[in-house]
Amino acid sequence: MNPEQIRKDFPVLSKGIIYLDNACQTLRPIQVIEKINEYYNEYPACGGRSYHKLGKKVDEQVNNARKILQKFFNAKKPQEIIFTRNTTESINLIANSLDLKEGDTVLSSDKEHNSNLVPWQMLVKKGIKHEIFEFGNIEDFKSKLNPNVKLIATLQTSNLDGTSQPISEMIKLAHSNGSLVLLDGAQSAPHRAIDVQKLDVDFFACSGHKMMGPSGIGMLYGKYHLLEQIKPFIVGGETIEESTYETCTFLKPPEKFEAGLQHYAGIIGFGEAIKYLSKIGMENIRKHEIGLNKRLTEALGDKVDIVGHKEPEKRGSIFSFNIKGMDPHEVAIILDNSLDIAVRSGAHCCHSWFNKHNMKGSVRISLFAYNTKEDIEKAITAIENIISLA
Amino acid sequence: MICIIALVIFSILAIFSASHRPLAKEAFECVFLRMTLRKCRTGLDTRLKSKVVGKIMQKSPKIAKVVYKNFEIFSWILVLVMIGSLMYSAYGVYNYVSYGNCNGPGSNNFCIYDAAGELKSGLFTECNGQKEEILYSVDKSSKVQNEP
Repeated sequence: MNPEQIRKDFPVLSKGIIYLDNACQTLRPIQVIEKINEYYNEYPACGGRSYHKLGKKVDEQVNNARKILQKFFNAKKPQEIIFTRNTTESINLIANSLDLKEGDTVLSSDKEHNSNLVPWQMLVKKGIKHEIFEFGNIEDFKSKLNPNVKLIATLQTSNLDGTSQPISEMIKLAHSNGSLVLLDGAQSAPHRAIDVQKLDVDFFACSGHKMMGPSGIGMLYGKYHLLEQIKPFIVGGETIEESTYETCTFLKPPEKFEAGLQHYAGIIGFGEAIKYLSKIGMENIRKHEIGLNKRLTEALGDKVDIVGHKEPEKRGSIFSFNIKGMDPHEVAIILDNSLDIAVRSGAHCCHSWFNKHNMKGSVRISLFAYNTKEDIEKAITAIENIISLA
Repeated sequence: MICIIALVIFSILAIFSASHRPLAKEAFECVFLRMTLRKCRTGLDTRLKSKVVGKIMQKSPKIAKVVYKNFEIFSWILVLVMIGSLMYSAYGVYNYVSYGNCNGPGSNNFCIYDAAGELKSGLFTECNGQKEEILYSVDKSSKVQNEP
């Protein structure tokens, strides 16, 4: 893998910016941008309902994107891939579609993104229990399992510090308890190979914008027999086969979950992004990110307070830290204004975890395939200068 | 303290630019909180400080450190300078309205508030003769240059 070569595909990087906010969203290669333009320039029509040439072309391209995603995540069939707006919508879909009853319990970790916390808090008002286990702590997880636990809704990799949970073991334990598992893969899918069949996960959600794809497009994978059982969340055009003034018959998955005119350009662009990632290779991306993270840890490990594991291998693409006596936002603004280094600061949508640990937030450097050693050296120098301010 | 300066600057910019209006509003909120002995919650002071320090750091990390460490003092100095210059300007306006000259009664010095750039007495009259002399000589020299 050659990051210098990859960088040539990202027009924005030619402006000299050092982009280290990839956990928020990644940049898009020219191939994805051109594919999106191709839709608007060549076949800007409706899919699934129009029998003209343009409509058929849209259908063909959307189906192709679905197949690319099916292959990438190793789903059994393309129909198991549902296009949503993002991970948040995918999680909300499950929260509102699963037939959870009063007294049923949903289990989540203490490091969830608000997107995998708030939808379950909303269900508490309907009498459903929402319980929390310690992130990555198998013993605590086991102790929370009981016959009332109907769903485990948790993340694979934390966007806060990059650490991952022993998810295969957790899924086995959940299934032996009779619980379903919804995995928030927003932070894992862009940085490692995901095999949904091997994981035996029931539902898996991720976002296009974190995987070099367009914003406003995401995915929900679901085992087909489960998708057939659950009711749709948003209903309307394109979800039904037939309707009268009183009743309607829903289409089969994935159509029954994809209501209204779809974000065709986004779907097609998402497919192209996945093709691009596959070409680089997920294992190559992972190794490259860990290599850069090792250098960051080696240079700054003793000078800053790292959030999460000390070993870079366990944090993958994320280096989250605090400088004593400085506000995380201060650090991020200085980095931006001094050397055009884009990082994220704050609670990273995990306010609950920071509140629990009585912390205001952190500065988060998140890496990706196009980041180079030079980027990291510049960031290290800038951070060392900032440390000297405090 | 930086919020007071920001309020004045952003308020002036907000007259012409819509994008500065939310900043002016934020600065006002910050100043109001400080005046009522509360902490500025908007984070504007932190953002301004970081932005200034970041820009200086590009040129000199050492100066950036001095500014970062003493930002409140620098802010106070700038606020006092701003108040001083505002008072001086107000005094000038008062003089101009009362005596036709911003420098006080009997002064012949130049006054910036004079829209015509002329004074009622003194400087303009004194210069007038020289002005005619200068124009004459310029005219004469250009004629000489134009001759074949």
